[in-house]
Amino acid sequence: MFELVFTSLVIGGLMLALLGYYISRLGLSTIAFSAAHAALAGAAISSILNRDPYTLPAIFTLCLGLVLGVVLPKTSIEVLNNLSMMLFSLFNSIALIAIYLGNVFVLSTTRVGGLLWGSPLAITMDRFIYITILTGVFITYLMLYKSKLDAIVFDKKLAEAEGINVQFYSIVIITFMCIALVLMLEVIGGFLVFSLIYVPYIVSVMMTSRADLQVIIAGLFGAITAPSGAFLSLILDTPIGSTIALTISLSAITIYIVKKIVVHFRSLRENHS
Amino acid sequence: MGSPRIELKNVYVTYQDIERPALRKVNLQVGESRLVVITGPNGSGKTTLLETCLGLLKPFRGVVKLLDIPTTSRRIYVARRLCSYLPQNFMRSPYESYTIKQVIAMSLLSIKGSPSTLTLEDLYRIKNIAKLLGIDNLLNEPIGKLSGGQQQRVFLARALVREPLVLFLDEPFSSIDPESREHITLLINEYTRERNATTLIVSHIINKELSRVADAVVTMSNGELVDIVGNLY
Repeated sequence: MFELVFTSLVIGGLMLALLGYYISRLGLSTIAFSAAHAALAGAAISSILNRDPYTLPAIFTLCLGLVLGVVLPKTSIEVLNNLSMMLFSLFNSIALIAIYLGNVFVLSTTRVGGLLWGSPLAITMDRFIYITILTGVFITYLMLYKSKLDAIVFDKKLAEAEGINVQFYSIVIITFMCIALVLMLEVIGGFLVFSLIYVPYIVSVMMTSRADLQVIIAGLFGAITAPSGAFLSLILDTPIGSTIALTISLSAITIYIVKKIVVHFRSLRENHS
Repeated sequence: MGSPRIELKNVYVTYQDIERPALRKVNLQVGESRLVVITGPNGSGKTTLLETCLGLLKPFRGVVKLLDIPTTSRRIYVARRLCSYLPQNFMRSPYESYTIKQVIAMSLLSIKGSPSTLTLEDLYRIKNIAKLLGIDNLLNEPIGKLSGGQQQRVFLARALVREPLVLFLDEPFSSIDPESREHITLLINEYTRERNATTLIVSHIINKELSRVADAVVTMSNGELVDIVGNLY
């Protein structure tokens, strides 16, 4: 069981971090944020209705992701961010109302607990296989289309002018993200899954200024911190999702402080010489 | 003579929520091996015209064709792959992490199939164009660390390395020092003639060399073409 959980988190952490790197660099972070909460609302409703954990969250998050993906080229990034944040509030409230209306006692069940703060029990062999397949497909996609994604990341308008269908590639990335969120939601929890998307990107930018290394660092950071957090939660007997998010955040803060100290001492040494 | 590379027929373009069209009654045909300068005061519609030619802005009236493909067609991506664009707002943040070599290579790789890797010939082409523009010693530097003038040269190298049929350059001399403008003008002219390319340059500044090598100068005002001097086609 533990091997399955840790392996799933290594693969899932890698997948969310790689996706997060491109999501963040494409300026789609707020879409990811609202998509995570759309998946949460879908999962809350499906748990109350006692349905499977994939269909409704997938419908909710994919509909939201694809609608925003279609709106994307027709509007400014500010309007898109505002729209995403409004939808985030909407889906959050739907999720909490669904849980409340279902049954108060249901809050103590593993399924609803998993929705809110994550559960290792959500990792079944089925889910492990889905996570592995999705990660494999995404990495293959990256290898095939990295040059086009890089061109879009560097400058969307220029990429469009040079003949790259920016909307198509953005929608593909959003679709990958939505499916990844559905698969990882009940493992890490609806409120915290976003930390595995955004924080690895921040860390990669802090650690190097080279774009080709940033994507590797983000992926490695996700693949290492997600299972480390799960291991800590096992030792400390704390909820898995919160402990993973805590491990990710504390690691990022530590890297930030260490980098500041290194830069400080390096400049001191340069001043002396 | 073949069909024009760029064709606009009675084109009107407007921006969202703005009543007054940014382009009005624009008729233009530009053929191959032509270097055309578009000039005019701020807000006259020069950049809008370039973006309309590329299909980045769609007309609400009239027809725009690039390499014989209407810009409203899905096939416009095919035409764009045969074109290059140097945008007016090219400056990158100091944190931009792509190296100059990567930035130039992106435009080459994006027109290839997938997966795409640089061949030795591509690398030679990148080095050669970088040398011509005086940025060959900076190829491994992140673009964010460069000055405005150096960044503009990188974008010009990126545009030329694709060996496009149509070259759209929006204020390509805005950050270039006066001494280098002449050299870059000659480089663009040489490319246009040797490759039978079509080059549209939007420029406030028409330096002596530019006015000498241009086949036509188009003047814009309030979204209209008010004067055309020279041969467009």
